[in-house]
Amino acid sequence: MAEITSYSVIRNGKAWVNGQEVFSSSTSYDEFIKELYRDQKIGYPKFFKMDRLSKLGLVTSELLLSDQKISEEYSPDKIGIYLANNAASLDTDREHQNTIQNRNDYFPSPAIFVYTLPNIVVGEIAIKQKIKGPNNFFIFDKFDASFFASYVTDQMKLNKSETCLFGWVNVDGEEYDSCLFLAEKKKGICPLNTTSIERIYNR
Amino acid sequence: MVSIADHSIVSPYGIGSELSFQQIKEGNSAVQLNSNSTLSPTPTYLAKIENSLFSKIKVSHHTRLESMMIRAIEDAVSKSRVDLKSEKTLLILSTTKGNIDLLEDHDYKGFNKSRSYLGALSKHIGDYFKTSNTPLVVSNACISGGCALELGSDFLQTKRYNNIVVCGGDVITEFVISGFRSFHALSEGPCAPYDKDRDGINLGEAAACVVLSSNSNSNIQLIGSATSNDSNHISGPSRTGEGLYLATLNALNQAQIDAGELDYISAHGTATNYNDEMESIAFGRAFINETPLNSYKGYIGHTLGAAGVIETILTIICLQKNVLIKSLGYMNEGTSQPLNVIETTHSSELKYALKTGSGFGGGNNALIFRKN
Repeated sequence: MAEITSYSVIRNGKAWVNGQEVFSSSTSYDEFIKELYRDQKIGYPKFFKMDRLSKLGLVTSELLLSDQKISEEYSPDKIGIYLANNAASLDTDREHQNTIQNRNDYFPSPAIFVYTLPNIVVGEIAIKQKIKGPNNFFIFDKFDASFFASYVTDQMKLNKSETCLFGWVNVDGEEYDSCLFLAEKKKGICPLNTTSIERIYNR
Repeated sequence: MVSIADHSIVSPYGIGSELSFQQIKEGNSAVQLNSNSTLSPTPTYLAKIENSLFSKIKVSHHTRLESMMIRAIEDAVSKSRVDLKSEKTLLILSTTKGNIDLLEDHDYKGFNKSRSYLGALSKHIGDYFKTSNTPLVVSNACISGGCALELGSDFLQTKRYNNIVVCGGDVITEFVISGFRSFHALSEGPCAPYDKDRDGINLGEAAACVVLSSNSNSNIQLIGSATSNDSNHISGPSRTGEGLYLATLNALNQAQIDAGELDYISAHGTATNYNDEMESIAFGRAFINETPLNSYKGYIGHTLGAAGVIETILTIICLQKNVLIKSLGYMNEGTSQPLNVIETTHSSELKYALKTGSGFGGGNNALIFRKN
């Protein structure tokens, strides 16, 4: 049976790892996420080129894996990443739309356009964490614990993944919310089921 | 056992898989030069659904994409005996951009602002068919369709559902044209997958629906599926073809067949320099570069979230009809690893086919189909 071996949450100006608060600041999202990045000494200059969704996903994955050694314990193609959110990439989509709204001021940019897909955050996490396994991105109205519990269990049962990084990464204007989990087939913090996932997300 | 119970295509050719397949078999491309200045300041080669056809597709109170997806689902489900209202049926929608065209307009083309969210796409299509389960939305760039089929297959294998209806769709918008043009990824003419002079993609517009079932007498099965990430670059394919190589190997492994048993590869072949080159390297590493291969992009363009589904349907029909379709636009070898690109449409006995896709974000997907 798989268990949740780590989890990290970023919302409301605070960051937690396995239930412990690790950072707090009352600045707006764009400042907050940079402060948190610096506080965690992530040292990954590419971070500053990322869109707001990828920044949130990357930092949450760093918190999640800070005490984990998945790249040593698992083959890179057996680590899965399954993420979901509500706003897809609409936050950056609106930014790209602004560049083409006016024919007299038409300046579409590849640096923005590439982030107009929600799964780019999965790609950014895969590059940073050296993960080559299955990956997918889902859209839900709101966080769906029972979907994750059944889907992640299935993926591990079918041997598509030996360990899974999964959860929620959402940015929409000034709203932001992320909650990532690591599931492994070993003793962890709590079992991989709907109740545990829901309890952690709602804390 | 995961079988393909039925399918449908809504494309610039019209409504119905067989209709699209016949046009493609006859060598007719849906790609045309489009000079509509509301879509792009410069004329662009596109495979776009014309207004006269769309008027037959349009479903009142629904957006362009919703209408296309509803027609594809209706057509596929009407032929199979799948009950969309059953708790044991799940509808999966795959799209890269959903109703993104609504952002172009200050009043969201008369719809509510919330309609631009993908959750609304799920709600409105689910409500139309009165599904018990909320349709699940997959948005994983150009591999969305393949990933949705893999997901459906996984759900049938773990017996969470008895039937899965997968519908992929995307519409052509100024949003997407301007973005790909800023990347210099659009071709100046009809696209030419794998050709020496290829210079980029043609965008296409379609919806396509596949019904997967664990209880069907269909002779086509989905026997292997895998997804891998290049872990290399978010917008450029891997130079070593790593993710596609791994996905292909893992899918073959699940299918329990040898690479040499594949009769046909229905590849992604976007006709960008980097993508097609990467595929040649990955297929070379997997020792399948002598297997007959084609891309359908020369006929229907790159249909983004629909690509994996529509191209899967065309692949299945090829298996059933024992025919290999010419890879339109290919003239001269243009990849560092040689590929066996299909140059003329011809009959050939087929049993196993591989369908692949690769996309932004570094994702690669491989599906293996068997005809009994």
